[in-house]
Amino acid sequence: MSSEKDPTHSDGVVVPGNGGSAPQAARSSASELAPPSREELLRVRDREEAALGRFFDRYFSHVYGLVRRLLRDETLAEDATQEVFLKVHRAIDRLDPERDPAPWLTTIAYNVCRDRWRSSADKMDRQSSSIEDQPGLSNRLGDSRSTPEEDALAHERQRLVQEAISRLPEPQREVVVLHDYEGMTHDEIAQMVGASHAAIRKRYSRALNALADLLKETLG
Amino acid sequence: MSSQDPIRNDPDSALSPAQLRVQALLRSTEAPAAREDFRIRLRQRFSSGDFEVGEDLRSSGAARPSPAPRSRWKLRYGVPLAAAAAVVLMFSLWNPGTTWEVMSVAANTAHVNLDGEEFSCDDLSLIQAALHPGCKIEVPEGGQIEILDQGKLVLQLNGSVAVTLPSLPFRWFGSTLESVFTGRGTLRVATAEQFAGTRYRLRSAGVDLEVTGTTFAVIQTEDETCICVLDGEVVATLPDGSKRSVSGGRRLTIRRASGQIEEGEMHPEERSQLRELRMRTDHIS
Repeated sequence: MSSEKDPTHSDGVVVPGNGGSAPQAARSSASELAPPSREELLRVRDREEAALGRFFDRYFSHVYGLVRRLLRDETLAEDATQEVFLKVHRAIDRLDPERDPAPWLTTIAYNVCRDRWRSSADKMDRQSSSIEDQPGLSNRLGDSRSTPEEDALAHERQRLVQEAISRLPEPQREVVVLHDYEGMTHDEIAQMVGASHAAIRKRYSRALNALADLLKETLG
Repeated sequence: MSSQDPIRNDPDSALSPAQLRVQALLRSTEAPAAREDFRIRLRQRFSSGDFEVGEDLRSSGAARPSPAPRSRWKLRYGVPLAAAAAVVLMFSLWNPGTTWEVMSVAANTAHVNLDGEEFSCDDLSLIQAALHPGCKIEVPEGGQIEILDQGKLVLQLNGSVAVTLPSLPFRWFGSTLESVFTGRGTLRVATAEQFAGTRYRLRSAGVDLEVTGTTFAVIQTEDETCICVLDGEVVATLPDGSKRSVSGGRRLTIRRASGQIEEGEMHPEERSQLRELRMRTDHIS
């Protein structure tokens, strides 16, 4: 990624995913593909319709995947994804053609999700559930092991993992999603969310413990 | 931060076997996929720039989880809402708003583009007939055209400005006109007497403006968006979501790359240009 030269964008936001300890396998799909060329990004910045379409195709799954994992359900995720692309469209003049836009999009998407966590609607939803309230989750995951079709098993596993992640408190959920799916290091996450490295490490460890408890059946 | 700290350099080395198993399970799952109809609709809006604030792109008729008490909701609110919608529809059919009028074209303006099609300025009636809601007007470098939009506001497009015309509002209800400003150049706006009770939203690169009655100019260059207000008040929403109010005689400049804001007296040149436009607009009323 071109962001390796400089850990910040011109607007001062943290550029995630520039190496460090997170394994390459954990990088998001957007990071695995080569970024668009400078010429292509200039066309995007000039709001050429075809270039905007290609930009959308290139990054939609990345944005939606991140937002869907950070938020609790599909409806919230679609709302937030729409808001992310609206913000991107409005700020497209600020797109730096010399850099991979993926970290910029990650920051916008994270900020949109954070704003939604702070909204009263999501707070009400949050109060109604906790990890301890979900005794049946790991059992259901265990039952799915007997499903013969591999695809169905993988789909069910994905659904239950997502459900387990959504049960985590937001501070833990964001660390898991940003580290394990976006490939950000703990230092990068600490800068993005405004916490210390030690706090992030603790949150990540607690999140894995909580998920281990929720998913113990499938983990054997 | 110490590069000698082994846990900092490789935080996963401090994880227990159980935690590593969870981590492996997490990383083995694929990213959740979005509904295809939602993706297609959002793509179309993103590439065309035709975003409506607050629009719900999720509703498609495709299967979506819906709240349980929906049927009761329909009974309680659906019928009155449908009746109200029918009344609004009848008013709108009986009483369509006025349309657009080309007020003037500068002598050096040979043509304008409407939705990408070139129209000669020799026959303004052809241009006027082609104007419609959502129509995108582009003025070539150095050119100028003034349009009276639905009898409510005057739009003066200069330079390489491109603006979409707002949709027709309901005459008998307070309404919002909304248009998009792209390209580079100066757009001057003055509201007519009939504008009372109406709002005008102008979306431009990096800043959204909302007015309820004013005379102002937006000057968009490669790097900056500058708002000069002659009278009234313009509320600007900046890229970070914050709002700034710009009152008569004042100027707000936004440097798009850095997000830096500068406030001050309006440009003297704009003051005289906007005064002239204000006088012409007052004659309309």
